[in-house]
Amino acid sequence: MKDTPKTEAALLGRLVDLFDEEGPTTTDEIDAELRAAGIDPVELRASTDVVVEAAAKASPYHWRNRATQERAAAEREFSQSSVPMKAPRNEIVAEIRKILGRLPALGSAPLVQVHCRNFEKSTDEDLASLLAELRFLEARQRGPDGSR
Amino acid sequence: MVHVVYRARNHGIRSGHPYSELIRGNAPQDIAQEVIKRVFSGARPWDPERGELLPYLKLQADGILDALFDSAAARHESHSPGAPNGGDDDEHTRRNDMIANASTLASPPEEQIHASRVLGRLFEATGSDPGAQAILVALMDGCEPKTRFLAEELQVSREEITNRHKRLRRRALAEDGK
Repeated sequence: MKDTPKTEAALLGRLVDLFDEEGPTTTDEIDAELRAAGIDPVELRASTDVVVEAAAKASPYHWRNRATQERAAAEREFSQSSVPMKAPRNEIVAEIRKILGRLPALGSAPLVQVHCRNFEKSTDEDLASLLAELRFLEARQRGPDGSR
Repeated sequence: MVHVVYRARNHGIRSGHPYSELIRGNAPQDIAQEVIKRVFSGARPWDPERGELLPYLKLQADGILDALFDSAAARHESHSPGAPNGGDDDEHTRRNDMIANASTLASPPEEQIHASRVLGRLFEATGSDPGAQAILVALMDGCEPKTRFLAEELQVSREEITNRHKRLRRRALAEDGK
């Protein structure tokens, strides 16, 4: 059974609901709507561009801001979670090789390339730091639940 | 931005109040800018996985507009009822039933008088536009105010319904002086 409007106000309300469903779509319709409200479309576009640009630059959604935030968060997480391995040098090297075997993509990182080119020239501290970073990156790739 | 203007003018048709009064000193630009700032700052975070940005911005604008409309409606509640114009055809008979119902329902009297005046003029003005009038009649018969349902009911394309409702809106705005 259809729900008929009981009053004229209800009928007018439904008509306006229909109007609300689909607004102006073409540039001509949009400009006409704005002009009818006393707004100059050209001026409006210029001022809106400024507002949108400023809001976008300051926005956490902006890639540049997001990259900075993500890097800061990663650094914080790294400094809190990673403890350089205190182990014999050969065990550290073996562990580095194991991780690179599991995740070869990590081998393209500049720091890895520098140290892996010649493990013998790296100090124990450098290798321990490298291992800590690789473990951190591997854990991040796995995600919080350990899956890849 | 145009969404704010469009909806405010629509609400003007519904309520009988000028759209500038409805948004109470807030220029449409202010409302649109507020929405942009809220969403872009993360105060009203947008999740791209749940839909596109523009509909989300419109939804946020609707939230602000609805609050302003409610506030405007609350300011205008006090008023005396009056007898709207009637007619002698079927539509007018049914409209008279609606008017009789109005006295027992919650809508403020001023709103009823305004609706009666606008609809009376719209029916009159669409006498020469049967397609547009058919929309009014279909809504009166209980059809959902959605383009797709009206297209089914009237056996025409959605585009045709859109064109007809645009003509109706132009007439409603002209009749109402908005």
